[in-house]
Amino acid sequence: MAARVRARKRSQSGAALLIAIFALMLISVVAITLILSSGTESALASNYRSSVRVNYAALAGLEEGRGRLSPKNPNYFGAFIAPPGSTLALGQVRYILNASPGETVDPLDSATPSSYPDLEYQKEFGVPPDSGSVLTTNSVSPVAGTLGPLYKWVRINAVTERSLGIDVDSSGGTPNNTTPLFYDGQHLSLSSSTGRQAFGITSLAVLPDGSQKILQYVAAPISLNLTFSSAITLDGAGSVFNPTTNSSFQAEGRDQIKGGPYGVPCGSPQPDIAAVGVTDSADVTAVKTAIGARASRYKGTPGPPPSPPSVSDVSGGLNTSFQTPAALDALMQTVKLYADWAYPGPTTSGLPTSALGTSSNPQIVYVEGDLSLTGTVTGYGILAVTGQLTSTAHLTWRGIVLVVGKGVMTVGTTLDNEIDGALLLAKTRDSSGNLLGVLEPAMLDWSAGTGDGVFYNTCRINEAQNNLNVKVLSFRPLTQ
Amino acid sequence: MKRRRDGSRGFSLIEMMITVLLFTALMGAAFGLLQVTQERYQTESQVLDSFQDARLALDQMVRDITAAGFPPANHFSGTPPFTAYASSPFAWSPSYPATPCIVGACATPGDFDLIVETDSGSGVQWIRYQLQGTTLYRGVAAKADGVDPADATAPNLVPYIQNVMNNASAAQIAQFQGPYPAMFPGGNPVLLFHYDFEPGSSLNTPPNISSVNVTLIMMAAQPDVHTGLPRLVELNGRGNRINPSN
Repeated sequence: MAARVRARKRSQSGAALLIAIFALMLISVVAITLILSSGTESALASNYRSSVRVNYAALAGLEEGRGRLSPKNPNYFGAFIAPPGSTLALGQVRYILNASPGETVDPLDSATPSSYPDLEYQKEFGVPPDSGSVLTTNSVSPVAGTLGPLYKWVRINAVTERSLGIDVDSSGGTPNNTTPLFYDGQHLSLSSSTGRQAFGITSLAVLPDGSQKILQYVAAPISLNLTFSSAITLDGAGSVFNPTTNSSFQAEGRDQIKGGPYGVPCGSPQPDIAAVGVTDSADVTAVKTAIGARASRYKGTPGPPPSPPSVSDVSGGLNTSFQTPAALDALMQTVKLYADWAYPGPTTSGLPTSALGTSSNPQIVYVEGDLSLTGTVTGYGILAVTGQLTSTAHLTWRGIVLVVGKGVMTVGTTLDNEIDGALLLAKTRDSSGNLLGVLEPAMLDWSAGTGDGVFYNTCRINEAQNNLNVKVLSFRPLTQ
Repeated sequence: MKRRRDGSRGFSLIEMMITVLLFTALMGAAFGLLQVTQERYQTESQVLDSFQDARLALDQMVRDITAAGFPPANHFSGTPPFTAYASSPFAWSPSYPATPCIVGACATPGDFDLIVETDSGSGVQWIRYQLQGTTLYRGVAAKADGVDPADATAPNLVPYIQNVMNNASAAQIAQFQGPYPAMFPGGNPVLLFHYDFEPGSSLNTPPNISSVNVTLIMMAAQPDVHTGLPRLVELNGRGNRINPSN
C-alpha cells in the first residue's frame, strides 16, 4: 500500500513540473513583450526630454555670460573681461567653468575629450586662443547643495567678421580677422569710435546621456545714446524759465566744471554747449530777459564769457529722442523698461536710499506721476519723472534728469540744488494724459532756489546711461 | 499480470485525459494571450512610430524657429545686400518685404503655414512648413530679391510627415472625439501654428512675432485592432524668436 502511494506521488510530481514550466514560459513571453514595448516608449520620451533639456542648459550658460557682463549684476565680471576703459583684445578669451562634482573642465585641453575641449574657437578664428591671455572663472549657477544647469563652459571673446562669417562692412574679399567689432546702438562696425564692444558668448552643454549643444550669442552693452545741446533744455516752443535771483546760482555749458570725482576716467572735456537751450528763437529773448542781471552765471556757447548769458536755440541740433512728443514718449518707455526703480506717482515721501545709487552703481529711477523730494537727496544715474518734479530738498543729482510728460519742475527751497550732467523738460501730454501731437511749453521754476545750479558733465551723463543692459544682437546654434 | 518491481507505472487513462485537458486549456489561454499581446504590440508600435515622426518633426520646426532671423541687419554697418541678411525672422506673403501683412489676413504665416528666414551656412534661406490635407510639407529655397517667399518655396515642398490630423475633415474629427474628447475642442481643427507677439506691439505682423507654438496631432497608420478606433498622439512645442526683427 505504502509503495503504491509513493509511486503515485512520483508520477503526479512529473505532471506538475511540466505544467509549471509551460506556465513560466508563458509568463516570460508576456513579460518580455511588455518590457520591450514600454522600453521603446521610454527611450523615445527620454530622447525628446534630452533634446529640450540640453538646449535649455546651453541657454542657461549664455544667460550667465550675458548677465555677468552687466555692471548691475551682483556677479559682474568687472576687470575680469577687460580693465575699465579698455576693450577685450582678439585672442584674449574668458571662460566660465561649470564642472559637475568630480569632473574636470578644461576647454584648452584639446587632447582630452573628457575635459570638454573648446574645438569651436579654432573653427571661428582659424587660430587657437592665446593660452597666455586666457582667464577662467567659476560659474555662479550652482546653489549650495544643488547641481546647476549642465553647461560645461561659457566662452566670452571679441568677435570679428571671420568668426561670425559675415561681411559686416560689405567690403567683399576675405573676412577681416584682425579688427574686433563694435556696436553703435544700431549696427555692428569695425570702428571702435562708434560704440561699445560686441562680445561673442558661446556655451557648451553636455548631459550625462551624451547629448550636446553649442549655442552662441553676439551681445553688446547698450546705451540710451543721449546727447545734449544744453545743460538745461526747455523743449517746446514757448517754454518758460523762472530763474532765481540768487547770485550763487549757476548754469554751466562747459563740460566737467563741477560734478567730480569720477568713478572711471572719462576722457578730456567735450566742447562747450549752451547753458540754457530752447527750441524757439523767440524764447531765447524771453529767457535772457528773465535772467537779467545775473547773466554772467550762465556760461557756455555762445562764448566766451563775458558775452553771457549762454542761451541758445538748440532746435537744430537736438537729439532725435528729444524732437517730438512721440520720440520723447518712446524714450521714457525705454527708461521705464530698464528702470531699477519704478514708482507710481504721486510720490511725496521721497526716494529710498538704495534707489539713489552711487557713482560706481548709478540707478535708473522712473516715477510715473508727480515726485516731491525733501530732506537731503544725493543721487546718481537717471531720474525720469512724468509728472511734476518738486524739490524742497537739498538735492544733488549726478546724471540725467528728465522731466517729460507734464514738463514742470519747481525748486521751492532756499537749500542748494545741484544737477551735474544735464536737465531736460518737455511737455508731451495734455491734462488728461493724452500724448500731444506737438510739444507744448515746459516750465522750470527755480525762482525760490538759491545756490548751485545745473552743470553740464559728460562723465555723469555717460555714467548714467551706459551699461543699461547687455543686449542680444543675434543668436544661433552652432553645428558640431 | 505481473506487477513491476520498481513500483513505477504509466499514467492511467483518466490521469492522461485530465493532464491533456489541462495542458490544452493552458496552452489555449497562453497563445490567446500571446496573440492579444502581439496585436497590442503592433498597435503600440505604430503609435510609437507616429510619436517618433512627430517628435522629430517638432524638434526640427522648433530649432528652425529658434534660429530664425540670423544674421540680422544689425550685423552690417551699412545696408547689406538683400540676400545677405534676414529681413525678418518670419517671411510673409503677399507684399514681401515692403508691407508686412496682419497675421490672420496673410497668405502666410497662417494657422497651417509658416516660412522662417534663417542662415543656411552660405547665405540666407527660406524654410517653409505647410500642412496640405493630412500631409505636412517642408520646402527650402534660397532667399532671392524680388521674389515672393511663398512662390519661391512652393515648388520645393516635399512631403515631410504624413497622417497629420490637425486640419482633418469634420467627419474625421467627429470620429476622433469618441476616444479623444479633449483633443479637438469644440470639434474644430487644431492650429498647427499659434503665434505670440511682442508685448506692446500695435500690429500683429510677422516681424512682431515673438514665439510660435506648434501643435502636432498624428494618427497611427492602422486603427486599434480590437476597437477599430483611430490612434492619435499629440505633441506640443514652442519656438521662441531670439534674433531681433529688423
